[in-house]
Amino acid sequence: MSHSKATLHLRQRQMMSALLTGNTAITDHIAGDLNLTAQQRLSIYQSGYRLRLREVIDNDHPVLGSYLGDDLFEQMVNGYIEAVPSQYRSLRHYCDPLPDYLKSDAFFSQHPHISELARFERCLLSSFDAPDRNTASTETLQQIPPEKWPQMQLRFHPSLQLFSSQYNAVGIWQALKGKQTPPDLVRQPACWAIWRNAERLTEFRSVTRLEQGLIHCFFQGETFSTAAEITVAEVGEEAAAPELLSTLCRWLDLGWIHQLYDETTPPQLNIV
Amino acid sequence: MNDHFLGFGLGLRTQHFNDVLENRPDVDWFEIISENFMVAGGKPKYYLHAIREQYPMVMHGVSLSIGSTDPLDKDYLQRLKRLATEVQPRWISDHLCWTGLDGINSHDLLPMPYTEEAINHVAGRIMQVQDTLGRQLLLENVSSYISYTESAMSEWAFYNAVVERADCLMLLDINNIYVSSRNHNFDPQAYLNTVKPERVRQFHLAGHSDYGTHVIDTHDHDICDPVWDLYRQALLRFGAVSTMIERDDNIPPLNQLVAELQIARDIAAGILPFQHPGKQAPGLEVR
Repeated sequence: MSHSKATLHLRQRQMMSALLTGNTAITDHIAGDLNLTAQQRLSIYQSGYRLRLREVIDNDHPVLGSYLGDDLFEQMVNGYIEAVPSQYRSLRHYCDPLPDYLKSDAFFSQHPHISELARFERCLLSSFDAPDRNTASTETLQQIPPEKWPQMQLRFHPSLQLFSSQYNAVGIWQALKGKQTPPDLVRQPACWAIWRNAERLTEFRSVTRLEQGLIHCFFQGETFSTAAEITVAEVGEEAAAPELLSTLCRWLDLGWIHQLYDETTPPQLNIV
Repeated sequence: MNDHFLGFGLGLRTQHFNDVLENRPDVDWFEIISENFMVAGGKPKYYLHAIREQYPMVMHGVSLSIGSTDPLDKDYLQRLKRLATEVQPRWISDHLCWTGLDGINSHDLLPMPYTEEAINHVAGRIMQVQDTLGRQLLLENVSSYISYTESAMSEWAFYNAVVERADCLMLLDINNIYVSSRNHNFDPQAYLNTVKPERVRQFHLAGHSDYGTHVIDTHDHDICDPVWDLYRQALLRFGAVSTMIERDDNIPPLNQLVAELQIARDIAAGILPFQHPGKQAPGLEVR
């Protein structure tokens, strides 16, 4: 720290401390007057800080808020603001660590589906503004010579994500979103795909165990040769080829696939 | 007429995306919040590009944190530069303030002490940002609720000194001048009188919440009469300056904001010899 900005730095440290921890040392350096004391002036910033962050949590997690109800939502908001100051330039990302916070907090960790609900809402947001890419069509399949298939790889649209949960968190989310009474909590392991469709709307649907395995396989850069092995292990040798083909066609229809490629494929321009 | 006068604009808000594209409202230009569009894709980027094709735009940031004693965030600056390449804004602005320290963001526009130390610090950083962006930056005066005991000058003396030393431009927020004048008991006209017209590139207008003992810059109300009065004074001193209305909470339908913008146009029409960009009478030298 150069001497030329030492006082400025100290004052900024004191101000952040007032916002984050309520330390009021900075009031010695704030001028009060007949209208407002130094502490009253400082408290405008202190309450503004909390209000702003609270509003972001509220806006980004409407269904979670509705599930928790007013008291628990306040408990979560207060705990999260205390525990997780923003390290982001944009408020869009302030709640990114919320699912992890809920998983580790002494109270909320007793109810792991609450973290799942928060993570589901984060995934929806991530798909909403994920990068744009064009999507492959069914004609793409016909253009690939049969001998090339084993080496082919697959790139998904960047908005596609898998969401795995141990509880019926998505069922609860759907009911609350539709203003219905949520179902009772049950342990119900499930996997969902979340993506953004051609109309730029975020969608989700459950995926089968085979789809889950295949998506993971392609996420990891494996080839169709490996995908075929996974399919054989799931449905048997005879049914594998038609199963893999119908899965691919379904994904193409849903707009999940950005590109089928191999080492000889020239890079594509990402024109939407 | 100076070629920086864009006319009368609005802040582009999500709630109005569809309305803007479908109804092409009578708005001369839009200001975007830069951080809201530092996302990869999807609807925000789709609407940004579609609306940009129809309207001039300027970019307004809220987290450059130019006054912070943290190092400048180079990653943020690169993202800002990339967005500017996409949007091709007429100009880029942020606030003369700091927003965080030690990597923690308060997401508030925190005032600086008005000292020589702070001028030196912030002016050097503005010059670095201008070098990175390859253009002059506009900095906006913020509303404030505290003043530091070590401040050695008025807010306007500080603002003018920073702008001169860094050779940057001003986004004068008329509402913020009014809000701070109420909170710190100064004459807003005295503020305006010291600002050099050649530095002023844009005006902000907005509403606020009046609590009697103090005023908070909430952007959730219509613009009040004292702010319109101050806008008249600003037009008299600075001439035709691109003017826009910010609304960030309690956001009404777009047509209500367009109607409020018409009040600004009418006020300007009564004071300036012209009010629409590109319609200057020959020989007039107005700003």
